[in-house]
Amino acid sequence: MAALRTTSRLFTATRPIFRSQLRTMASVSNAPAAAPADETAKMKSFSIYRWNPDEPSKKPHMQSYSLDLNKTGPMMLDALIRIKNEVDPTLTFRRSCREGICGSCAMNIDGVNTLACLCRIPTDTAKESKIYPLPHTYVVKDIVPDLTHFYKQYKSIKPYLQRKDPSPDGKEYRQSKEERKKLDGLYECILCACCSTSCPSYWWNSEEYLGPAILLQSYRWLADSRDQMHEERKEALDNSMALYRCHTILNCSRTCPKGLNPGLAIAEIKKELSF
Amino acid sequence: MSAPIENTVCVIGGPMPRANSPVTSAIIDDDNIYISCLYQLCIFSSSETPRPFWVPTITPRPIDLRPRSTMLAQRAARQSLRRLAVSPASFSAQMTMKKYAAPMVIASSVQTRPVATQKLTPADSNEILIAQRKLRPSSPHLAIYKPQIPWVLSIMNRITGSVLSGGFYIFGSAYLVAPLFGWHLDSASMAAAFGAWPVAAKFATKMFLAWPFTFHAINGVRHLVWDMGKVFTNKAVIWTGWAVVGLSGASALALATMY
Repeated sequence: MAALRTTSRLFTATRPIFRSQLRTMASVSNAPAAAPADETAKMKSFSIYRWNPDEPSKKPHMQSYSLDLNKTGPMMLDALIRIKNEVDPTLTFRRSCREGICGSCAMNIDGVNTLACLCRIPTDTAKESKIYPLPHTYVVKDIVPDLTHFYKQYKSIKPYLQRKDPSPDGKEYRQSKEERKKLDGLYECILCACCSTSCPSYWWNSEEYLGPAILLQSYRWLADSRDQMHEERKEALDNSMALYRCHTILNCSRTCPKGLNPGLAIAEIKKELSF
Repeated sequence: MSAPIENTVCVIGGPMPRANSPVTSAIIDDDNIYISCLYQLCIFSSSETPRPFWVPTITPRPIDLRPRSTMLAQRAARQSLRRLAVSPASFSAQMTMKKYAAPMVIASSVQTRPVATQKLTPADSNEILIAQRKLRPSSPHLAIYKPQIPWVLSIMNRITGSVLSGGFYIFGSAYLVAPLFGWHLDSASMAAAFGAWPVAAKFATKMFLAWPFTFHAINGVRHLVWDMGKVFTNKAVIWTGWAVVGLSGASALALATMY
């Protein structure tokens, strides 16, 4: 790393003649995506939301790309990566693990929030696939949403074990198998924000309403037998906005790419608060 | 930071970079040649040719260096280099390579960026962030979300609820003030007036009043069941949704065709 930094500073001394041969910054290619090589090419078009913070006066627009599905991997993320690599390097999106465990590539694909890496490209080539950022979020660039507020809300529920007493054996906080089982379907959440941004209540009240993802996490700590701050946690939720803006629309459970059920978790919290 | 290039080179002579270590960048100025490998930086003086100079084991072959669509050009150049770097070149080829071809190849194949890094204080970068946040658009929502049973029925529940309660309040207040304005809103005169309407109008009015009621009532039962924490699976939510649509439509039809 040190070597790299030294050279980048030294670079200013480069002779101009070499500059013309050097790589320029990423720019939009005018070349067509991939000309159909043969009749068997399965060209599918993808319409993607674009907005560039460097040109803020330009309105967000949809840009179409077409790819041969025979040469593309099976998932939407494969298509996006291929577009970025081969057609348009300015296309911006988040991605990391490509196997549905990091939650980076959450976006709205064909009208439904999901992870691009877990979403198969529909084989119907006649229909254009539409890709938007997560709905009702502030757009950083293209399909990258600003999730700052979402993470702040997560922090606000104190997502960690809170104890009043030390453990009896001084080593660890033990739990029965039954108690552990209550956390199944809760601990798997990767906080991709698909559910929260699919929730119309969260669209209109995201300032105060916590939204399904964060409420599922709240319930994860309420359901944990080792946590001793249940009353305080419940009290924090017991107001008209944080929890009760949930009107059981259930877009959250429908859209969760991990197959979890935030709607049920919220219903369980409501039950705990009322009985 | 630029990604390390896969192209590795063998080095002959002088103060050499570690053999087979990936080259990350190369810079040539008037006096020196700087070659940065993954773990070390080697500086060669360009005046002391030809001895302490490193020669990649490649045979010279024309490489298209014209600036093109950047990604593609880079890849092409890198691929041809990889193809070239197979067998040790002959001595004469090495000699011709020494002074001209090698630096050219190095300079064109390594990833360098013609922009200097700018240092920003945290306060400055925060200000840029604040300025950018003011301009960020909100992504589309209701208009692009796929119509699905959960949210479509939810909004219908709210609309029918508003229609029912709104209608109730409007009619109730109108009934209250009717004597003041001489309106005839008592049941007998209403029924008489309604009976004189054509059949289609009667049916449409009855449907308009009956369906919001049946839908809201039956969907309300669905919500009560949810409040008990039951029937939450996706499958169940979908089929109960369609059941509500079917039942409310059928019962509204039954109500509207009575009498």
